Amino acid sequence: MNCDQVPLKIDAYLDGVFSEQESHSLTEHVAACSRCSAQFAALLRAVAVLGDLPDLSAPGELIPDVLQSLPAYRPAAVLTISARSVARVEWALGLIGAVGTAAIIVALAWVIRQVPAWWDSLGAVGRVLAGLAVKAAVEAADAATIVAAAWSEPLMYGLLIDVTLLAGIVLLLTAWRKRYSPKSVLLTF
Amino acid sequence: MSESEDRILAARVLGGDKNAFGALAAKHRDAIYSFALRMLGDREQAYDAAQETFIRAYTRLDTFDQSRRFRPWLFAIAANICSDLLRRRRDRDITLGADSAIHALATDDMAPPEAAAKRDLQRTVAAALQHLAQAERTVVILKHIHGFTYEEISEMTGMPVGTAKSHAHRARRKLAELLQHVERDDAR
Repeated sequence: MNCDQVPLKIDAYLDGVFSEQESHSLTEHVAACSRCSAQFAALLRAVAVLGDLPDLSAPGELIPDVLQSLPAYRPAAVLTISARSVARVEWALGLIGAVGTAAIIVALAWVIRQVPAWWDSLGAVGRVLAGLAVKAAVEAADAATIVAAAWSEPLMYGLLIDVTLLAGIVLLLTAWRKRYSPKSVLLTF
Repeated sequence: MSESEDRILAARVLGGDKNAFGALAAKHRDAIYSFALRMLGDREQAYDAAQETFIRAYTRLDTFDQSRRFRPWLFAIAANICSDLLRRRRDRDITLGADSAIHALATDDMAPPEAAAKRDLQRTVAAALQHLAQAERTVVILKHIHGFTYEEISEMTGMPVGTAKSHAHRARRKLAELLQHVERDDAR
Protein backbone atom coordinates (compact mmCIF):
# COMPACT_ATOMS: atom_id res chain seq x y z
CA MET A 1 0.00 0.00 0.00
CA ASN A 2 1.30 3.47 -0.87
CA CYS A 3 0.43 6.87 0.65
CA ASP A 4 -1.99 7.77 -2.19
CA GLN A 5 -4.17 4.76 -1.38
CA VAL A 6 -4.33 5.47 2.33
CA PRO A 7 -7.13 8.10 2.42
CA LEU A 8 -9.54 5.78 0.57
CA LYS A 9 -8.62 2.90 2.85
CA ILE A 10 -9.13 5.05 5.93
CA ASP A 11 -12.57 6.09 4.63
CA ALA A 12 -13.52 2.46 4.14
CA TYR A 13 -12.17 1.63 7.59
CA LEU A 14 -14.18 4.42 9.26
CA ASP A 15 -17.30 3.40 7.30
CA GLY A 16 -16.87 -0.15 8.57
CA VAL A 17 -16.48 -1.70 5.12
CA PHE A 18 -13.06 -3.21 5.52
CA SER A 19 -11.63 -6.72 5.36
CA GLU A 20 -9.17 -8.08 7.90
CA GLN A 21 -6.48 -8.22 5.23
CA GLU A 22 -7.00 -4.58 4.27
CA SER A 23 -6.94 -3.62 7.92
CA HIS A 24 -3.61 -5.42 8.33
CA SER A 25 -1.99 -3.70 5.34
CA LEU A 26 -3.31 -0.28 6.49
CA THR A 27 -1.93 -0.81 10.00
CA GLU A 28 1.42 -1.89 8.57
CA HIS A 29 1.65 1.19 6.34
CA VAL A 30 0.55 3.61 9.06
CA ALA A 31 3.09 2.17 11.49
CA ALA A 32 5.86 2.86 9.01
CA CYS A 33 4.71 6.27 7.66
CA SER A 34 4.57 9.23 10.05
CA ARG A 35 2.49 11.44 7.70
CA CYS A 36 -0.22 8.82 7.15
CA SER A 37 -0.06 7.89 10.82
CA ALA A 38 -0.82 11.50 11.84
CA GLN A 39 -3.62 11.71 9.27
CA PHE A 40 -5.13 8.42 10.43
CA ALA A 41 -4.93 9.42 14.10
CA ALA A 42 -6.55 12.80 13.42
CA LEU A 43 -9.43 11.18 11.51
CA LEU A 44 -9.98 8.62 14.25
CA ARG A 45 -9.97 11.40 16.83
CA ALA A 46 -12.41 13.55 14.82
CA VAL A 47 -14.85 10.64 14.54
CA ALA A 48 -14.42 9.81 18.23
CA VAL A 49 -15.05 13.42 19.28
CA LEU A 50 -18.16 13.62 17.08
CA GLY A 51 -19.45 10.37 18.56
CA ASP A 52 -18.85 11.72 22.07
CA LEU A 53 -20.74 14.98 21.56
CA PRO A 54 -23.65 14.89 23.97
CA ASP A 55 -27.24 15.74 23.11
CA LEU A 56 -27.95 19.33 24.10
CA SER A 57 -30.79 19.86 26.52
CA ALA A 58 -33.77 21.43 24.80
CA PRO A 59 -35.49 24.26 26.69
CA GLY A 60 -38.10 22.88 29.06
CA GLU A 61 -40.96 24.78 27.42
CA LEU A 62 -40.43 23.11 24.03
CA ILE A 63 -42.84 20.20 24.50
CA PRO A 64 -45.58 22.26 26.26
CA ASP A 65 -45.27 24.79 23.42
CA VAL A 66 -45.56 22.02 20.84
CA LEU A 67 -48.61 20.49 22.53
CA GLN A 68 -50.26 23.90 22.71
CA SER A 69 -49.61 24.51 19.00
CA LEU A 70 -50.96 21.19 17.79
CA PRO A 71 -53.98 21.54 15.52
CA ALA A 72 -57.31 20.69 17.09
CA TYR A 73 -57.98 17.79 14.77
CA ARG A 74 -56.26 14.50 15.30
CA PRO A 75 -54.12 12.92 12.58
CA ALA A 76 -55.97 11.10 9.88
CA ALA A 77 -57.49 7.80 10.80
CA VAL A 78 -57.84 5.53 7.85
CA LEU A 79 -61.15 3.80 7.23
CA THR A 80 -61.53 1.25 4.50
CA ILE A 81 -64.90 1.02 2.81
CA SER A 82 -65.49 -1.74 0.31
CA ALA A 83 -66.11 -0.82 -3.30
CA ARG A 84 -69.41 -2.69 -3.15
CA SER A 85 -70.67 -0.42 -0.35
CA VAL A 86 -69.55 2.64 -2.26
CA ALA A 87 -71.32 1.34 -5.41
CA ARG A 88 -74.55 0.73 -3.46
CA VAL A 89 -74.47 4.25 -2.07
CA GLU A 90 -73.76 5.61 -5.56
CA TRP A 91 -76.69 3.68 -7.07
CA ALA A 92 -79.02 4.83 -4.31
CA LEU A 93 -77.91 8.45 -4.62
CA GLY A 94 -78.24 8.27 -8.41
CA LEU A 95 -81.78 6.85 -8.17
CA ILE A 96 -82.86 9.42 -5.58
CA GLY A 97 -81.33 12.18 -7.71
CA ALA A 98 -83.08 11.02 -10.90
CA VAL A 99 -86.51 10.61 -9.24
CA GLY A 100 -86.11 13.92 -7.41
CA THR A 101 -85.11 15.79 -10.56
CA ALA A 102 -88.03 14.30 -12.52
CA ALA A 103 -90.46 15.25 -9.73
CA ILE A 104 -89.15 18.83 -9.63
CA ILE A 105 -89.43 19.17 -13.42
CA VAL A 106 -93.02 17.84 -13.45
CA ALA A 107 -94.05 20.04 -10.50
CA LEU A 108 -92.51 23.11 -12.13
CA ALA A 109 -94.16 22.37 -15.46
CA TRP A 110 -97.52 21.76 -13.77
CA VAL A 111 -97.31 25.09 -11.86
CA ILE A 112 -96.39 26.96 -15.05
CA ARG A 113 -99.29 25.28 -16.88
CA GLN A 114 -101.72 26.60 -14.25
CA VAL A 115 -100.66 30.28 -14.58
CA PRO A 116 -101.61 31.63 -18.06
CA ALA A 117 -99.17 34.56 -17.84
CA TRP A 118 -96.25 32.22 -17.10
CA TRP A 119 -97.42 29.75 -19.76
CA ASP A 120 -97.62 32.54 -22.36
CA SER A 121 -94.19 33.81 -21.43
CA LEU A 122 -92.68 30.43 -22.33
CA GLY A 123 -91.35 30.11 -25.85
CA ALA A 124 -92.54 27.42 -28.21
CA VAL A 125 -89.82 24.98 -27.19
CA GLY A 126 -90.48 25.64 -23.50
CA ARG A 127 -94.19 24.95 -23.94
CA VAL A 128 -93.53 21.71 -25.75
CA LEU A 129 -91.10 20.52 -23.04
CA ALA A 130 -93.30 21.58 -20.12
CA GLY A 131 -96.37 20.08 -21.84
CA LEU A 132 -94.52 16.83 -22.41
CA ALA A 133 -93.41 16.67 -18.78
CA VAL A 134 -96.93 17.21 -17.48
CA LYS A 135 -98.35 14.82 -20.08
CA ALA A 136 -95.77 12.15 -19.17
CA ALA A 137 -96.56 12.48 -15.48
CA VAL A 138 -100.32 12.36 -16.09
CA GLU A 139 -99.98 9.40 -18.41
CA ALA A 140 -97.76 7.58 -15.95
CA ALA A 141 -100.38 8.12 -13.26
CA ASP A 142 -103.14 6.97 -15.65
CA ALA A 143 -101.11 3.92 -16.58
CA ALA A 144 -100.67 3.01 -12.94
CA THR A 145 -104.41 3.37 -12.38
CA ILE A 146 -105.19 1.25 -15.44
CA VAL A 147 -102.73 -1.44 -14.36
CA ALA A 148 -104.22 -1.53 -10.90
CA ALA A 149 -107.78 -1.73 -12.28
CA ALA A 150 -107.13 -4.26 -15.04
CA TRP A 151 -104.79 -6.58 -13.17
CA SER A 152 -104.79 -9.89 -15.02
CA GLU A 153 -102.55 -12.88 -15.61
CA PRO A 154 -101.36 -11.91 -19.14
CA LEU A 155 -100.54 -8.41 -17.91
CA MET A 156 -98.57 -9.86 -14.98
CA TYR A 157 -96.50 -12.06 -17.36
CA GLY A 158 -95.83 -9.04 -19.54
CA LEU A 159 -94.63 -7.05 -16.55
CA LEU A 160 -92.50 -9.97 -15.35
CA ILE A 161 -90.72 -10.10 -18.74
CA ASP A 162 -90.14 -6.34 -18.63
CA VAL A 163 -88.74 -6.47 -15.07
CA THR A 164 -86.50 -9.45 -15.95
CA LEU A 165 -85.06 -7.57 -18.93
CA LEU A 166 -84.46 -4.50 -16.80
CA ALA A 167 -82.79 -6.58 -14.06
CA GLY A 168 -80.53 -8.19 -16.69
CA ILE A 169 -79.40 -4.78 -17.92
CA VAL A 170 -78.73 -3.62 -14.34
CA LEU A 171 -76.74 -6.80 -13.59
CA LEU A 172 -74.64 -6.36 -16.71
CA LEU A 173 -73.90 -2.74 -15.82
CA THR A 174 -73.00 -3.74 -12.24
CA ALA A 175 -70.62 -6.47 -13.44
CA TRP A 176 -68.94 -4.00 -15.76
CA ARG A 177 -68.57 -1.44 -12.96
CA LYS A 178 -67.12 -4.05 -10.61
CA ARG A 179 -64.50 -5.05 -13.12
CA TYR A 180 -63.27 -1.53 -13.65
CA SER A 181 -63.70 -0.23 -10.09
CA PRO A 182 -61.04 -0.25 -7.35
CA LYS A 183 -61.22 -3.06 -4.76
CA SER A 184 -61.68 -0.58 -1.95
CA VAL A 185 -61.77 3.10 -1.28
CA LEU A 186 -59.76 4.79 1.47
CA LEU A 187 -61.45 7.61 3.27
CA THR A 188 -59.42 9.81 5.61
CA PHE A 189 -60.89 12.01 8.30
CA MET B 1 -36.02 3.89 24.43
CA SER B 2 -37.03 1.18 21.99
CA GLU B 3 -38.41 1.48 18.50
CA SER B 4 -41.38 -0.64 19.50
CA GLU B 5 -42.21 1.93 22.17
CA ASP B 6 -42.22 4.60 19.44
CA ARG B 7 -44.58 2.51 17.33
CA ILE B 8 -46.94 1.92 20.24
CA LEU B 9 -47.00 5.65 21.05
CA ALA B 10 -47.53 6.52 17.38
CA ALA B 11 -50.45 4.08 17.18
CA ARG B 12 -51.97 5.63 20.30
CA VAL B 13 -51.66 9.11 18.78
CA LEU B 14 -53.40 7.89 15.63
CA GLY B 15 -56.10 6.53 17.87
CA GLY B 16 -56.69 10.07 19.14
CA ASP B 17 -54.50 10.11 22.28
CA LYS B 18 -52.83 13.53 22.22
CA ASN B 19 -50.93 12.84 25.47
CA ALA B 20 -49.14 9.95 23.78
CA PHE B 21 -47.72 12.46 21.34
CA GLY B 22 -46.34 14.43 24.30
CA ALA B 23 -44.51 11.30 25.44
CA LEU B 24 -43.26 10.58 21.93
CA ALA B 25 -41.98 14.14 21.45
CA ALA B 26 -40.38 14.24 24.90
CA LYS B 27 -38.46 11.08 24.05
CA HIS B 28 -36.84 12.66 20.98
CA ARG B 29 -36.82 16.28 22.19
CA ASP B 30 -33.11 16.65 22.99
CA ALA B 31 -31.92 14.73 19.93
CA ILE B 32 -34.03 16.83 17.54
CA TYR B 33 -33.11 20.08 19.26
CA SER B 34 -29.38 19.16 19.21
CA PHE B 35 -29.57 18.28 15.54
CA ALA B 36 -31.31 21.56 14.71
CA LEU B 37 -28.88 23.59 16.81
CA ARG B 38 -25.84 21.97 15.22
CA MET B 39 -27.34 22.46 11.78
CA LEU B 40 -28.43 26.06 12.27
CA GLY B 41 -25.99 27.39 14.89
CA ASP B 42 -28.66 29.53 16.51
CA ARG B 43 -30.65 28.65 19.62
CA GLU B 44 -33.78 30.56 18.66
CA GLN B 45 -33.95 29.11 15.17
CA ALA B 46 -33.16 25.64 16.52
CA TYR B 47 -36.07 25.98 18.96
CA ASP B 48 -38.41 27.01 16.15
CA ALA B 49 -37.16 24.20 13.92
CA ALA B 50 -37.62 21.59 16.67
CA GLN B 51 -41.11 22.90 17.39
CA GLU B 52 -42.03 22.83 13.70
CA THR B 53 -40.60 19.31 13.39
CA PHE B 54 -42.90 17.95 16.10
CA ILE B 55 -45.97 19.79 14.83
CA ARG B 56 -45.36 18.52 11.30
CA ALA B 57 -44.76 15.02 12.64
CA TYR B 58 -48.12 15.15 14.43
CA THR B 59 -50.08 16.33 11.43
CA ARG B 60 -48.40 13.83 9.11
CA LEU B 61 -48.25 10.87 11.45
CA ASP B 62 -50.70 8.97 9.23
CA THR B 63 -47.96 8.84 6.56
CA PHE B 64 -45.51 7.10 8.93
CA ASP B 65 -45.01 3.49 7.89
CA GLN B 66 -45.25 1.62 11.17
CA SER B 67 -43.18 -1.27 9.90
CA ARG B 68 -40.16 1.07 9.82
CA ARG B 69 -38.15 3.00 12.40
CA PHE B 70 -39.70 6.18 13.75
CA ARG B 71 -36.43 8.01 14.49
CA PRO B 72 -35.21 8.30 10.87
CA TRP B 73 -38.70 9.43 9.82
CA LEU B 74 -38.66 12.17 12.46
CA PHE B 75 -35.10 13.22 11.61
CA ALA B 76 -36.03 13.41 7.92
CA ILE B 77 -38.65 16.03 8.83
CA ALA B 78 -36.13 17.93 10.96
CA ALA B 79 -33.48 17.80 8.21
CA ASN B 80 -36.00 19.13 5.71
CA ILE B 81 -37.03 22.01 7.96
CA CYS B 82 -33.41 22.95 8.73
CA SER B 83 -32.60 22.82 5.03
CA ASP B 84 -35.50 25.21 4.28
CA LEU B 85 -34.38 27.60 7.03
CA LEU B 86 -30.80 27.60 5.77
CA ARG B 87 -32.00 28.22 2.21
CA ARG B 88 -34.15 31.14 3.37
CA ARG B 89 -31.19 32.48 5.35
CA ARG B 90 -29.01 32.26 2.23
CA ASP B 91 -31.67 33.93 0.08
CA ARG B 92 -31.92 36.83 2.50
CA ASP B 93 -28.15 36.88 2.90
CA ILE B 94 -28.36 36.66 6.69
CA THR B 95 -25.12 36.02 8.54
CA LEU B 96 -25.26 35.10 12.19
CA GLY B 97 -23.14 37.07 14.60
CA ALA B 98 -20.04 35.27 15.83
CA ASP B 99 -21.13 35.53 19.47
CA SER B 100 -24.45 33.94 18.74
CA ALA B 101 -22.85 31.09 16.81
CA ILE B 102 -20.14 30.38 19.34
CA HIS B 103 -22.57 30.47 22.23
CA ALA B 104 -24.96 28.18 20.43
CA LEU B 105 -22.32 25.68 19.47
CA ALA B 106 -20.87 25.20 22.92
CA THR B 107 -21.57 21.71 24.20
CA ASP B 108 -24.28 21.34 26.77
CA ASP B 109 -23.85 23.95 29.48
CA MET B 110 -25.80 21.79 31.90
CA ALA B 111 -23.56 18.75 31.47
CA PRO B 112 -21.34 17.88 34.43
CA PRO B 113 -17.83 19.30 34.05
CA GLU B 114 -15.51 16.88 32.30
CA ALA B 115 -11.85 17.07 31.58
CA ALA B 116 -11.18 20.57 30.28
CA ALA B 117 -9.13 19.33 27.33
CA LYS B 118 -11.88 17.01 26.15
CA ARG B 119 -14.49 19.72 26.46
CA ASP B 120 -12.32 22.17 24.54
CA LEU B 121 -11.88 19.60 21.79
CA GLN B 122 -15.62 19.03 21.64
CA ARG B 123 -16.26 22.76 21.42
CA THR B 124 -13.69 23.10 18.65
CA VAL B 125 -15.23 20.29 16.60
CA ALA B 126 -18.78 21.48 17.28
CA ALA B 127 -17.85 25.01 16.15
CA ALA B 128 -16.06 23.63 13.10
CA LEU B 129 -19.24 21.92 11.97
CA GLN B 130 -20.61 25.37 11.10
CA HIS B 131 -17.84 25.89 8.56
CA LEU B 132 -18.67 22.77 6.60
CA ALA B 133 -20.87 22.90 3.52
CA GLN B 134 -24.53 22.28 4.40
CA ALA B 135 -24.68 18.81 2.85
CA GLU B 136 -21.41 17.77 4.53
CA ARG B 137 -22.65 19.05 7.87
CA THR B 138 -26.00 17.27 7.52
CA VAL B 139 -24.41 13.93 6.68
CA VAL B 140 -21.63 14.04 9.24
CA ILE B 141 -24.03 15.01 12.05
CA LEU B 142 -26.54 12.31 11.12
CA LYS B 143 -23.85 9.67 10.66
CA HIS B 144 -21.35 10.32 13.44
CA ILE B 145 -23.37 12.12 16.11
CA HIS B 146 -26.78 10.47 15.72
CA GLY B 147 -25.55 7.13 14.40
CA PHE B 148 -27.66 6.69 11.28
CA THR B 149 -26.53 4.44 8.45
CA TYR B 150 -25.73 5.84 5.00
CA GLU B 151 -28.82 4.09 3.66
CA GLU B 152 -31.00 5.83 6.24
CA ILE B 153 -29.34 9.17 5.52
CA SER B 154 -29.94 8.63 1.83
CA GLU B 155 -33.65 8.05 2.47
CA MET B 156 -33.88 11.04 4.82
CA THR B 157 -32.16 13.52 2.57
CA GLY B 158 -32.91 12.12 -0.87
CA MET B 159 -29.24 12.04 -1.83
CA PRO B 160 -27.74 8.81 -3.22
CA VAL B 161 -25.77 6.63 -0.77
CA GLY B 162 -22.52 7.27 -2.66
CA THR B 163 -23.02 11.04 -2.45
CA ALA B 164 -23.74 10.81 1.28
CA LYS B 165 -20.51 8.86 1.73
CA SER B 166 -18.50 11.42 -0.24
CA HIS B 167 -19.90 14.24 1.92
CA ALA B 168 -19.02 12.34 5.09
CA HIS B 169 -15.49 11.62 3.87
CA ARG B 170 -14.87 15.26 2.96
CA ALA B 171 -16.34 16.50 6.23
CA ARG B 172 -14.22 14.09 8.29
CA ARG B 173 -11.04 15.16 6.49
CA LYS B 174 -11.81 18.83 7.10
CA LEU B 175 -12.45 18.19 10.78
CA ALA B 176 -9.31 16.05 11.07
CA GLU B 177 -7.22 18.80 9.46
CA LEU B 178 -8.65 21.29 11.91
CA LEU B 179 -7.75 19.04 14.83
CA GLN B 180 -4.21 18.69 13.50
CA HIS B 181 -3.96 22.50 13.32
CA VAL B 182 -5.27 22.91 16.84
CA GLU B 183 -2.84 20.32 18.15
CA ARG B 184 0.07 21.95 16.35
CA ASP B 185 -0.91 25.32 17.82
CA ASP B 186 -1.20 23.79 21.30
CA ALA B 187 2.24 22.21 20.94
CA ARG B 188 3.89 25.62 20.29
